[in-house]
Amino acid sequence: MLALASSFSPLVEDTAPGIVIFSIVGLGRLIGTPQEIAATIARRGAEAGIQANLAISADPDTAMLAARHLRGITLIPPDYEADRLGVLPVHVLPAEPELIQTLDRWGIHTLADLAALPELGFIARFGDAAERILRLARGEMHRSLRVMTAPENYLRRIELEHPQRLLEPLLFVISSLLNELMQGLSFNRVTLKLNNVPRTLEFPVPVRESKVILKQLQFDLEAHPPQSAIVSVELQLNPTAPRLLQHGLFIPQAPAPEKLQLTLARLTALLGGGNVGSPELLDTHRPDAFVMRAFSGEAPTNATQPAPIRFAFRYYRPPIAAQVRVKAERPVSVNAQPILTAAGPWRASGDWWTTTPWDREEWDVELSNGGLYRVYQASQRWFLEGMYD
Amino acid sequence: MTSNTYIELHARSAFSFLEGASLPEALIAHSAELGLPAMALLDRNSLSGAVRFHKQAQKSGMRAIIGAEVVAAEGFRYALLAESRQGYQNLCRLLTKIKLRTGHGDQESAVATAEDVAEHAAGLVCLSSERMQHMVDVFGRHNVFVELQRHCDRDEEHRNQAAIAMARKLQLPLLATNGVSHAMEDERDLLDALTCVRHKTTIFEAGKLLAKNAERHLKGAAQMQQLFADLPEAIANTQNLAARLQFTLGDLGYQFPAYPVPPGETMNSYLRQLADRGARHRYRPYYEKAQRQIERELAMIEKLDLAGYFLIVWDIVRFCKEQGLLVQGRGSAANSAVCYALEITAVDPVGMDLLFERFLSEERGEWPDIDLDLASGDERESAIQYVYQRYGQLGAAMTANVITYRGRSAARDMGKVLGFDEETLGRLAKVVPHWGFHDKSDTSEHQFNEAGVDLQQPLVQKFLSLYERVQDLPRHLGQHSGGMVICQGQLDSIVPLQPATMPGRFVVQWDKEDCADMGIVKVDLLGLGMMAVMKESIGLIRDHYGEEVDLAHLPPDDPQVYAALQKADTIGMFQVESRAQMSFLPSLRPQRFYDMVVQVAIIRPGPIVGKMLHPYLRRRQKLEAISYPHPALQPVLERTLGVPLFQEQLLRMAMIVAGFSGGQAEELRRAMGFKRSEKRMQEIEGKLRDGMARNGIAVDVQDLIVRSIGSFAAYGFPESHAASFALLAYASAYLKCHYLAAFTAAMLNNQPMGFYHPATLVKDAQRHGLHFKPIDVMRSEWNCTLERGQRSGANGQWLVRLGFNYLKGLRRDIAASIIEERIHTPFASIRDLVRRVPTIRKEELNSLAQAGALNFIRAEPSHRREALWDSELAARPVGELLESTTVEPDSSPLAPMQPEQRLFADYTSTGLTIGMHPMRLHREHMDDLGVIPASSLGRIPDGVLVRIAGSVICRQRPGTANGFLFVSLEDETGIANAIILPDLFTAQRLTIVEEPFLLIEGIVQNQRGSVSVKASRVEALRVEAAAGVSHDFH
Repeated sequence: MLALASSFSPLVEDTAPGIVIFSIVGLGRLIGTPQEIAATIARRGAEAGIQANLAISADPDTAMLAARHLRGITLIPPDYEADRLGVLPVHVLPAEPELIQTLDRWGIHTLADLAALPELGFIARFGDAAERILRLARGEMHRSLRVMTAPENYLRRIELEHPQRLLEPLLFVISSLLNELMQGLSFNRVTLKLNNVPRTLEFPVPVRESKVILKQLQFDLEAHPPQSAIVSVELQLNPTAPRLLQHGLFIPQAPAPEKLQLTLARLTALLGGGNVGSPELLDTHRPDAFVMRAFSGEAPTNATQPAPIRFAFRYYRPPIAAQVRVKAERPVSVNAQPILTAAGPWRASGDWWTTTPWDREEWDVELSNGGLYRVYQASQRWFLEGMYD
Repeated sequence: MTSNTYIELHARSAFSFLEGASLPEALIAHSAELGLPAMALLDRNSLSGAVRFHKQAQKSGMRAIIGAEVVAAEGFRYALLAESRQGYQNLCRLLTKIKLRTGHGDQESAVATAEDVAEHAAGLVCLSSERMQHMVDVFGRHNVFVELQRHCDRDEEHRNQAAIAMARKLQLPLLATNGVSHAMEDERDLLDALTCVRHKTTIFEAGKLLAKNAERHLKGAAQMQQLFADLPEAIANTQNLAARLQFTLGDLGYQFPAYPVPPGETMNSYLRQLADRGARHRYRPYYEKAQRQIERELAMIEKLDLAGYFLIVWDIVRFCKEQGLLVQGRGSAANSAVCYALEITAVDPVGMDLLFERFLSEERGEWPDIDLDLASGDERESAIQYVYQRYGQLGAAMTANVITYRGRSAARDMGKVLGFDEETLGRLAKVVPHWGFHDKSDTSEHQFNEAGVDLQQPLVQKFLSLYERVQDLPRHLGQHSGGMVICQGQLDSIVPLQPATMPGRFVVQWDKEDCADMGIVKVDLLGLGMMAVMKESIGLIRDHYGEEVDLAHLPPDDPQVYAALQKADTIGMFQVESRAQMSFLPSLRPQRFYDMVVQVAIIRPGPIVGKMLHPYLRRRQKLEAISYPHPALQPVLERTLGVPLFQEQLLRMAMIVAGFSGGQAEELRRAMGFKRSEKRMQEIEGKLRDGMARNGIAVDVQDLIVRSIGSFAAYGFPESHAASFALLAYASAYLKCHYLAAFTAAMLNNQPMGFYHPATLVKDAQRHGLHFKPIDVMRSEWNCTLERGQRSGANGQWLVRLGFNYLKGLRRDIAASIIEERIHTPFASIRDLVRRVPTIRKEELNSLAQAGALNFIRAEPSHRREALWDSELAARPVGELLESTTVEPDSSPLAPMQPEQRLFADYTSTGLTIGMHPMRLHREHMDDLGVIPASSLGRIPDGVLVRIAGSVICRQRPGTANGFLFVSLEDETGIANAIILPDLFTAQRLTIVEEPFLLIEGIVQNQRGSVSVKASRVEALRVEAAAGVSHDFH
């Protein structure tokens, strides 16, 4: 709708979602009478697939009320505002619900009823806010448009003269685009489209230096090279407020966030996404339940208290399937190695409310090889989960 | 007890409130299955489940050991077991102390300090796995056991090993327990759900708050021995300790307070003296039959040592009478001539030939039950205050009311646990059964399907399972409305007390059944709205009509009263105003007081289910011959036309045909009553048949008698109770018929009460010729009042002025300021009112204007819109500068309200209208639609198709009506009743349940004066007036 309005006038007000008001002053000479102007706008709107009501009035608010609550095209000549709006119910007015309720109690149901109220008496009861709606009902409103300005756009696009297959020249192109766009501002997201194929990098802290972004794009391009020679490059940056940081006098110096970002990007390129970050234990009885969170370098605030360590335990991830022989409900051997002593069973179960409940029985076993291991049984199968140091 | 027996000494029930998933009965039942000879219940800071635990254990032949977990200020818990009565008393006092210190607000946070525990340690045994030195210091070495629990948890075992080491060091005995939280293994999910409710979280976020596994269920000896195979002494010690813990609730040591009598008197002699004096006043002359009865009762009272109880109740009644409070005993006490003589009850049991044994018998071995009805509100409150004052704060308390999970609360809480959103919760809560009736297809699945909940979803299936299993589990402890227990000395050594809602009040941790089971005497001080209405009516009659009405001496056979009853013109009358009562009144046609007694007793779920109603009705209408199961029963059944209706008749029947004593007969009634036990019933039926056989009664007649007793034993009503209520019913009818203005004002001032919305009461009174005046700031009081009317005649002389109590949103202190200000100088304008009552809010002023209460403030009456115009200006704050300037309000440009708008304003601001009925405005349209007015319905013959329409004033779906729904529609001429069959109800549930105005088409059922429409079609009627004046019974 904004585009449609802008195609008719430079004076466009982006009033609210779904509502646009624009000036038709001057269109008379180009198009003709107000009726013809309205018909033209309606036709162009229909062509653009816009379904909307349209109203023309000398006052933006009057036009808006008419467009919102009268179907189709409404033309309100000057001095006919009160007549045309009079049939509308008072609850369409931009007023506090309390005021509308009072009007309802008073038996004032339409804008025509409202317009007939004595001005002094009405304003004495509701103050300045009431004046505006009374003037609107009486067709006495005259305000100017709040013309919108186009937002700054951090997007550059280049069509290359020759298809580019090499990374370095490509990075040169990207670098020049970055320098042109950044101008010392801070950004937290970059979207690079090579041959219209997008890749987006997010930065946990605002970045101001183009070389940091360039380096990260380089890692990403190395890890995921484009499929074909590049003929177009488009770069879009998302601006954000710059980072303000007060270093504490006694807080150890952490690596600069930009450097940390680069290191993490290098690691991710090396190990693959999902394998780099900070492990966070989940609040559940399920053993070894954790998720990988993005590494931020800041100490976790809600870290669960670690259980007192009695023995260090080394998990085998994933656990190793094992052959366990059981006698009198106690395991007697693991993978044919006799168990010297066994402690257990230790039982845990949970997630009974899901379709994947779990239930396991663990034993701590000392094998004849001298090792102290943990074995467990789940879904009728035995696993070696790890060993105690 | 065999040497390898294990005894569970640490179990929590659902009375740990959200920390246990099984009822005490379920724990005992499963223990018995596992062959455990005894068991201990230790609920968190509570003995609320102890009585049920004890009673169930008695039934199962087990020993119930009593204790509690007491939460310490440091966060751990003392697991305490009562070894002796002293220990039990200490435990009660300890719990009372910490509960009272916490106050009413947050009982969850009650904790004991080390000093509290040390002060009350005697006679208690402590189980502990930590702080053992501290425990030894507090309880003594002999009374501390080191508790080991094994739930297959590695961390727990680590703590166990540390505890064992410490036990060895301190030479303390080990004790195995399982820290039981649920009876069966598969109840772990329910425990998890309750944990979530307790921590106000969902199952998805509860994390490690949930149980680690399902090991906290009751385990048998073999299983526990296996778990503690390495520590056999821990198992053996459970027996040793259990053998030491000899205290049971059977050894409570409760003493009923002695009544202080004048010097030289005993309680017996004093009671005798009072009864004699009272009887001479009541019975004029004090004829021989009455004397004999009183003597017989006094002898029994003396024998059972109950004189103190009667004196205490007499004392409360005496206090009430001295204070001018209306009080009347109800229930089986009305069978006692001594109660009648002491003015505890108002029914003469000798004159009415009532049966004393229903009230008191030697065989019963429990306290008689005397319930006192008082005017609800302040009057009941002062009686309660008196009891506290008389017996000391720790000598009297209210009984508890255990709030359990029921349909809606269960659906809401379990839904929240499973993370359902508000919309789904709302839908679920709406569909769970709240109508009285449940048909067979009304399973939970059926209801949830109806709410659009997909039962195929796994989470919904979990919900359904939890929802069904959580039913009846206790949620928290509330306060019973009127039950008080009193004790000689300290009640807190019998049962823990905790703070009630009202400051300075206490609630015991047991409900009234528990108290009765434990032989604790209870007096019910019940608030009855109708008593308050009568009290107020009598005052209004005295002040305005200048007449004194004595309820004890009303004319007994007032023709106006019986005429109204026979027409079912009974809106507002006590006990006879319900839809069911009204539908039977024209058939029963009461003509004397005893007919009222029958009427009150017979229209109840019991007699309807027991199918006694129709034989009685048919006999009364002479459609069926009167017969008796046996000629010997004629004297007993004669007054109810051969059909047994009352519990007293059952007792007498058994006494006559089988030679039962009064006590045996009462036992028969109880055995056949609600809590039926097959075994007990067969035993007593055997005795009944033996007795009948001895009296030469033939087997077929025996069958008839057994059947006739059995069919109503469960539901029969005590005749004495019916008589007490019939007295109130008669009195209310009398007041309504003769003093309509006073009665209506009093009814309006004591809402909510009764069966109908005030809007209906007003319309009914108007149809009886009563005039009403609107709320007026120049005249209204807080309550509705009487004013002299313009017309003569009984109902024209006085009219009712609506009070400020009917203005929605008006604060009472503002109304008081208005009244006080206008006494000195009447208000000159709305502005003047605002200036003199400056704390009035704009909404209050608007509400007054909307209701027309400001119309008469000017010399010339104005209309409501003018008042609204003025009040809007008057309510605007004025700066200091302008305060002194008098701005004359401009004249209003607003048009007066139309009748329909006035109606709407009436309903919005007061919830009722004294103007025309909304249906009156639509009568022409109704005529076009072929709708007949309610008043014409009685003239339509049976079987004719009609249409009725009106505002829905009552919807009822009684459990006894096989799914039928009864709807009452009110129009400007009266009330029309309709019956909606289950199929139609199911098809149009929303319209029927939610629409404020309905049009119903159906066939007239006009039988013997009772008229209703059997609906075949129902549709919503669009009427512009406020909704929501229906009283729905769900």
